[in-house]
Amino acid sequence: MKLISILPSFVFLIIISSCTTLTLKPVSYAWPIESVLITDNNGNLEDQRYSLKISARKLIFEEFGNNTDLDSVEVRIIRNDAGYYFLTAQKFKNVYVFRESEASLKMENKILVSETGLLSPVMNQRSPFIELLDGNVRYMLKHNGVEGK
Amino acid sequence: MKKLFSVKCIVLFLFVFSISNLTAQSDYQITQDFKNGITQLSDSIKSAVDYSECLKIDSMISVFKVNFSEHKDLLAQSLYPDTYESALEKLETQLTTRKNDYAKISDLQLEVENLKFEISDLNRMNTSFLREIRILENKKIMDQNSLDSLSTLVNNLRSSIRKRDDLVLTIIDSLVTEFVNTPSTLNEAESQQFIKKIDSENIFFNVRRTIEDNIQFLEVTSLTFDDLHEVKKHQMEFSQLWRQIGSKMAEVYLKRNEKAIEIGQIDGLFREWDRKINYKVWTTIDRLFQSQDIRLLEFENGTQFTDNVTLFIENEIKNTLVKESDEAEELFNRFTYKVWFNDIKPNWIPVLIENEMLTVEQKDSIESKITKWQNIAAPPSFTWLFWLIGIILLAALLLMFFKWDSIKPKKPDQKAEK
Repeated sequence: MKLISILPSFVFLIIISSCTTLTLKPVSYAWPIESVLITDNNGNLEDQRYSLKISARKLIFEEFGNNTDLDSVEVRIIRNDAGYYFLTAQKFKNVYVFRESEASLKMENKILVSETGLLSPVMNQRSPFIELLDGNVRYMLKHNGVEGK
Repeated sequence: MKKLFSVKCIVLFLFVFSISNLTAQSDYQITQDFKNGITQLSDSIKSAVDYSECLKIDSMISVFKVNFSEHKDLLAQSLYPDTYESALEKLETQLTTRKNDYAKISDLQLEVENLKFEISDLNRMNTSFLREIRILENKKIMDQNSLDSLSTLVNNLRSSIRKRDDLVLTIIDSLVTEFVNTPSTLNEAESQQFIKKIDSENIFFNVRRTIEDNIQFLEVTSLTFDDLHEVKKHQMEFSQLWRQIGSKMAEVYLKRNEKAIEIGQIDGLFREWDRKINYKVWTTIDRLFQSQDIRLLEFENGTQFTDNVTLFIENEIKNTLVKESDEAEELFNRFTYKVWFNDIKPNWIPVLIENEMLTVEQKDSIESKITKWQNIAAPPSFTWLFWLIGIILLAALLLMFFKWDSIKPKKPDQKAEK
């Protein structure tokens, strides 16, 4: 009888202890400058500095359609403080925001920035924002969208 | 060359100027511009051909520094592990090294200018000495005064040639330091500088003159074994330095189809010089044998020398059977004790071996022949031993004779009387 009464408390204690994991704060994932990478004929990107390899095939198809030539597309990528990856390229209408996942990047957001396509985009680290410049137009981006223009 | 450098300066200036228009644009572009600027400045330093160009690059670096100083923090992060300061420090170190090299070269050039005049004077003096020596040598009979004059002239000529040669060596050495010791091929600017230096120092003329004078000197003088060592060493030193510079000359001049004949002629003269020295050595050794009335077949190298000496000895071994023993022994003694052991072996053989004109094996083969000849022409005598034994026996007999009374056995009567 007594055993039955203390069992729920015991189970509750176990659950609480497993939830309180060690957390380190603050951490900044910010890259100081963007990486400008060129796809190979399979749409793969490789960044030597950050030892990052990404298949950008689906990204390019998402933006331009399935019949697009994957070779030699210049993709710009930067990571913000929070650890989100921002990807875009010339003629893209959107900036794609990805978060890290196991052996993959999952799309967090697709930010529409230009109806006609970006002419010569550059991204700069302006913590806590990512600054997107395209000619005279400037966007201040966060992972959830445009914070200022 | 200066025009090319000015064009590079303008390009670099425009490049640096345009950076200011990009400061509001892309951090990535700023980083790339910085890296490209460093690379271009570094290349400019490598291709700078004199001290004044280094100074121009110095001022370009100052401008470059100022333009990028406001992006120090960005560059520290983006260039990691390098920083703005470390990248510029490497560049400045590279420039300082280049400036120091040119400062050194400038000093050497001044020194060499002075040497040019000295060389001209010595060339005139050497010509005059050689003329006088030839006049004296052509006299059939020379009195003591003439002989003394000749000796003095030869010494003066030797010293003057050596002094002039050292000056020419200094000039060539400066060329080696400046141009030859660079591991890579000379660029166009460096090639031009190299040619200018060769022409201004009259290198071709001076090297040719050096070799020709040395060859003439060999012709008018005789060579002792001490001289051989010095002469060979001098020839090898000069030849080695020429080979170092010759490859660079070939690289620079032959691209322009120039001077190929001259370079080839000078190479030929070096070979001729070496041949003359060797010829002089072998004729001097031959004269040593001739001075003792020993006639060998002509020889011009170590192999011929060994073969001809060996042949002579073998012939004399055969002749010993038909000659009078005194005559054969006398010739053996002249060959060995007056020539071979007296002069050639102690003085000439070590120098010949050291200069690779004779091998140890060749020397040993001659000496084994001499030993064989000795056993036949002048076998070791044991007469002294017979005399010694005879004397010992005689002494023993005399001793026995004088001591006989004391040792002979006595008769019994003589014992009783006592």
